[in-house]
Amino acid sequence: MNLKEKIYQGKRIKSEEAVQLFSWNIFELGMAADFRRGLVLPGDKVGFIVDRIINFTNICEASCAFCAFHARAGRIEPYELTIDEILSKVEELVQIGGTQVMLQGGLHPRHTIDTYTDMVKAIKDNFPSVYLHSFSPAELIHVSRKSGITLDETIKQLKEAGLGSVPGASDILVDRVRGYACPKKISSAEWQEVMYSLSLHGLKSSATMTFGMGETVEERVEHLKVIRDVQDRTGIMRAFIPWSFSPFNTDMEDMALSTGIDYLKIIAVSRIFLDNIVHIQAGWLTEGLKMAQIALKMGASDMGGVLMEEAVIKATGMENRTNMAELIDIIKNAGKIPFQRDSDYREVKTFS
Amino acid sequence: MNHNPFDLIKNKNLKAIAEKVYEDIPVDEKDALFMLTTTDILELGLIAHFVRKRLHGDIAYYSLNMNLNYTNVCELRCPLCAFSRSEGDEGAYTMTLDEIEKRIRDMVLSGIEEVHIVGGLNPKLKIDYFEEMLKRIKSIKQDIFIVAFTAVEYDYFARINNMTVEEVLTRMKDAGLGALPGGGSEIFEPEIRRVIAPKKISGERWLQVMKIAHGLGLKTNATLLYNHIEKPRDIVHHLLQVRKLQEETGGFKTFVPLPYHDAGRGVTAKRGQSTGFDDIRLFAAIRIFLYNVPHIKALWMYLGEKMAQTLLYFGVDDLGGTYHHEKVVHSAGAATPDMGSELRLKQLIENAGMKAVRAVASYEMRGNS
Repeated sequence: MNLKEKIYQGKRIKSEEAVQLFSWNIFELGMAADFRRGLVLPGDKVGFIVDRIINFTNICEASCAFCAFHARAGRIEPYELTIDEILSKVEELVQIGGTQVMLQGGLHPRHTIDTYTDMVKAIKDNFPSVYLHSFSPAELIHVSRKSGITLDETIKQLKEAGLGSVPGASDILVDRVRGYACPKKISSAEWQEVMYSLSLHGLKSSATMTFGMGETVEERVEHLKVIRDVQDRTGIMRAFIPWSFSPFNTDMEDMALSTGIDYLKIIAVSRIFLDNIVHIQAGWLTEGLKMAQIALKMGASDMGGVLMEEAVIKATGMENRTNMAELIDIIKNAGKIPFQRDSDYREVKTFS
Repeated sequence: MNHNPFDLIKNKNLKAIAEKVYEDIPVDEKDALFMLTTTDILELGLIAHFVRKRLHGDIAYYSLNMNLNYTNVCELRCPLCAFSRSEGDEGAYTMTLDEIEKRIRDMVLSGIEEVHIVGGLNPKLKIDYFEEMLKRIKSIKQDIFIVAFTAVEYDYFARINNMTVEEVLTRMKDAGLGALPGGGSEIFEPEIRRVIAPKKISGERWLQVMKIAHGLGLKTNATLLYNHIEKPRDIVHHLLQVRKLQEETGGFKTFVPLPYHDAGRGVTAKRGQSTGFDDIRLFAAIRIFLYNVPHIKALWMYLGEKMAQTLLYFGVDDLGGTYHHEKVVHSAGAATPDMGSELRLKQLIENAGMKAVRAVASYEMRGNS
C-alpha cells in the first residue's frame, strides 16, 4: 500500500513517511490533511476560545537563547505581578465573556509551590468559573525543585488548588536543538516525565512545537514522534499547536526566518502524523490571521484563543492581535461555522 | 503523482473550469465570479498553478528595485490615498532634479537595477522636469530600467502641457522610459470609482492611455485595488476590461492586485487586512481568467511576506522587488518593515521549491541567477 492510500484509509504513518510528506506538493498534502481532519472531526465547525495569557513574571533562570521576553534579554525590565494585579487582569477577561486563563511565568529563582498555589487559589476563590489552563512542564519541574518536593506532589497540590490543565509548552523536543536554543530548560525526557505525571493525576495537557530554530525535517518529525508516543500512553493532549520561531530581539537573531509554506506543511504533516490528537490549532499569533485561516484548509480544526494581552511573542516585535469578532469573521470567510468553546473544546456559543 | 492533475478536484464548477483551462478555452465571467467566492481554495489553486506552470515552469522572478516618489503634492487628494498633500501642507514635498539624481546615484551604488517612479499631480512640474529626470537617471547607469508614471500622470502631463498623450509618451520613451506601472486603475466600475477616487481619470480614460502606450511598443502593468467597497462583480468587470484590451494590444505584461489598507485614509477598508482566503481566491482567479496576461505579481509589503510566498502556488510568478524607499504604502500603515533584501526574496522563492530569477520589469534577466 502506498503512502497516499494509507492516508486515505485512515492508517497510521511511519516517521520516514512523514518526512516524505514534506516534499509533497502543497495541494495534495493539504487535501490529504483535510481528509484526515474530516475523519476525526467531520463537518465544518471551527472553534475558538476567549482567553487571556497572564505573564506574571519575566524573571527567568533559564535565559534561553530563543527568548526575547526574559529579563536578561534586556528588552523588558524585570517585573513580577502582584496577586491583586493578576486578579484585576482576570476580571477584565471575565468582563468580555472570557473563560480561560493561561498563567505563564519565567523560572523565577524565588518561586516555590506556594507562590503557584497562592495564585491558583486566589483566582479560583474570586472567579470560580474561570478555567486555569496554566503554567508549563518547565515551570512545574522548576518549582518542585525550588520547593524540595517531588513532581507528583507539585502536580497534586496544584490540582487541589484548582488548576484545570497544563499547556504542553514543548518548544522542540530534540535535545540537539535544545542544546543551543534552551540548554538550561528541561530536557525532552523531563518533558515526557511531566506528561506522565499529569496523566497520573488526571490532568489534561496539549503539545506545541516551535519550529524554525535550525532543526532538520527529520528532527521535526522526531518531535512529532515523541508527542505521538506520549499521547499513545496518556491520551491527555487535547490539541497540538505549532508556532514558528521569531528570532528578533533574541540571541538567535541570525536564524533564517521560517516561511508561510513551512508553516502550512507543518500543519498538514502534523494532522496526518498525529492520528491520536483531535485538534490541530491554527496559530494566528505567530503566523498572522491570513496563514492561520489558510491552515483551516490544511488540517487545522481550531483557531485557538483570542489571547488578550500576550507578551512573550510581542517581545520579538510581532504585532499580531485579534478579537472575537475578527475570529468569527475569518472563520466564516473560510466557509466554516465559528463557535466559542471552553477549555475542553465543548461548545459555548455558535455563530451561524 | 497523478496522470491528470485535476483528478483531485471534486467541486463540479471547478472541474468544468479546469477542463476549459486544460483545453486553453478562456473561462467566462460566471466562472470568475464562482472562483472569487469558492471556499475550495486548494482545488482552485491546482488550476491556477497549472496555468502558472504552463507559462513559467518553476521560475519565480524578483528584482532589485527602488521607488521614487518625486512629489506628494497632488491636485486630486483621493479619499483612498494617505500619501498625497496639498501645496503648503505640512509634509508636502517636491524633489529637485539634483535631489533625485543624488538619491538614485546612492541607490545604484547599493545595487539597484530598476526604478519605479510615481508621484502626485503637481501643477508646478512641467514636461521638461520629467524628461530631464529620466535622462539624468539613465546617465547614472545606462542599463537601469525605468518604470515610470501612471496613466493618470500621463493624462495630466498631456493636459497641462497642451500635448497629446502620444507626444508625452514618445518624449519619455526617448528620454529612457522602459515600461509603465499599472497604478491608477483601482477599480474601473464608475460607481465605485466615484467614491474612492472621484477626481481621478475614468477607467475608460485609463484604458485609453494604456492603449496609446501599447501602440508605441511600451509594455505596461495593470493593477486592481481590493479590500474596500468593491463587490466580486466589480472585480470581474475590471478584469474583463483588461482582458479585452489585452486581446487587442498584447501590451500588458504584468497584473498586480493590491489590497487596500485604510490607516490615515478616507475610505474604510473592508477589513484591517484582506483574508488569506480572499487573497488566494483573487490571485488564483486572476491567473486563470487573465489567460493572456503573462505575469502576476504579489507585493510582499502589502500582502505580508508569508502570504506573498504562499501565493507562488496560487498563480503568482513575480514577487516584486526590494522596493527601497517605498513611501506610498508605508504612510498607510502596512506592517511589513523594510526587510525585502535580495537574500530574503531568494530564500522565499527557493523555500517554496522554485527557481529564483533576478530580472527587471521587462523580465530580462540580470546577474547570474
